[in-house]
Amino acid sequence: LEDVFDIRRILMAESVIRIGKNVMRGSVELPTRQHAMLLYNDNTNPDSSMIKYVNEALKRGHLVAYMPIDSDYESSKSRMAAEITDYEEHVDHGNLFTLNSKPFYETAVAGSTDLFEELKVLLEEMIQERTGSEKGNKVVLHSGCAADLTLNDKFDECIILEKWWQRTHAEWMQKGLDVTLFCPHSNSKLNQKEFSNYRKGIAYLHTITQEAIQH
Amino acid sequence: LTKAVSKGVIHVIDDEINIVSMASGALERDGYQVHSFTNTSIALDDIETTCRQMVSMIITDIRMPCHNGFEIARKTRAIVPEVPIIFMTVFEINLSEFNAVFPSLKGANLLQKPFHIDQLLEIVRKYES
Repeated sequence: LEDVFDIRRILMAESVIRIGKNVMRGSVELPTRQHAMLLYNDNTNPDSSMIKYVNEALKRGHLVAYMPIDSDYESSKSRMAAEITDYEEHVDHGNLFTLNSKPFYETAVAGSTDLFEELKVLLEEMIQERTGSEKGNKVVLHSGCAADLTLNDKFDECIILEKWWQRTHAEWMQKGLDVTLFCPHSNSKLNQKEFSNYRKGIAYLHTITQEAIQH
Repeated sequence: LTKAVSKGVIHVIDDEINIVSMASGALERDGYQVHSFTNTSIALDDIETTCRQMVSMIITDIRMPCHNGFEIARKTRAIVPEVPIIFMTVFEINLSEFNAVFPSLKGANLLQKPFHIDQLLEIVRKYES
């Protein structure tokens, strides 16, 4: 029965990709309360695609915790400052929180989720801080290190991490927390025939799969 | 800040005994009075009852069993509103981003793990003036 359920989930995820291809052109579709697999097509500058989602979330008044795909945090910070609309204003008002993906990647490659457990505490406290304030309590998190794992063929480690995010996101939903979690992955990488099983396996661990808007 | 750190008790709280031993040992050698804890419930009890008027600084880990560092910080600030809070964290966090996201913990500071004793003492001494 579990196998049947798995196959249904995979088919559903794949159908969302197909729908996504038709719907996503031209505007940023921001899912809510989802654990989203976000497939990007720009391998040279993937963070620029992700930043479109950051801008949309900030425009809607959400708190954004952004872990870039680029493991070079210094260059990521420059890109964020240049491409995130009203970057400094959002930082000053506590709407934007950035994270260096490198230590997260390193801990994930070692098969550990310890660092992510601390991130979970931090995010839950951020939500508590905003709850009751006029800012609202919607949070969007970009977990950029997922992309690095697939790009570097660390598929098993990626699945360990995505399973952890799946459990954590489900726990947040049960608690009534309004968190949308984006896990970016390279579309071209996962479209390679030899990785098709990983693509399905990773998609299965998300509640929605969509193709990122081109920039 | 209203109270010099050296006149009160610094609470060091972390579920990792090595961190607590290293930090509290260094602070004591530097002349500070330190209460150190690996159990967060006992730490809170000490802050709320025994040391109520003596708490001069909280140095706490973020993720711990029972009570996390934020709970400890908020409960302590409810008793001693301007007590300095230093979070020990494995993250590389931008302090201004952190303070903007956590306005209720105004002025909290961060100490990234792993840290050297000198870094700990430097951050604590900032609150002496």
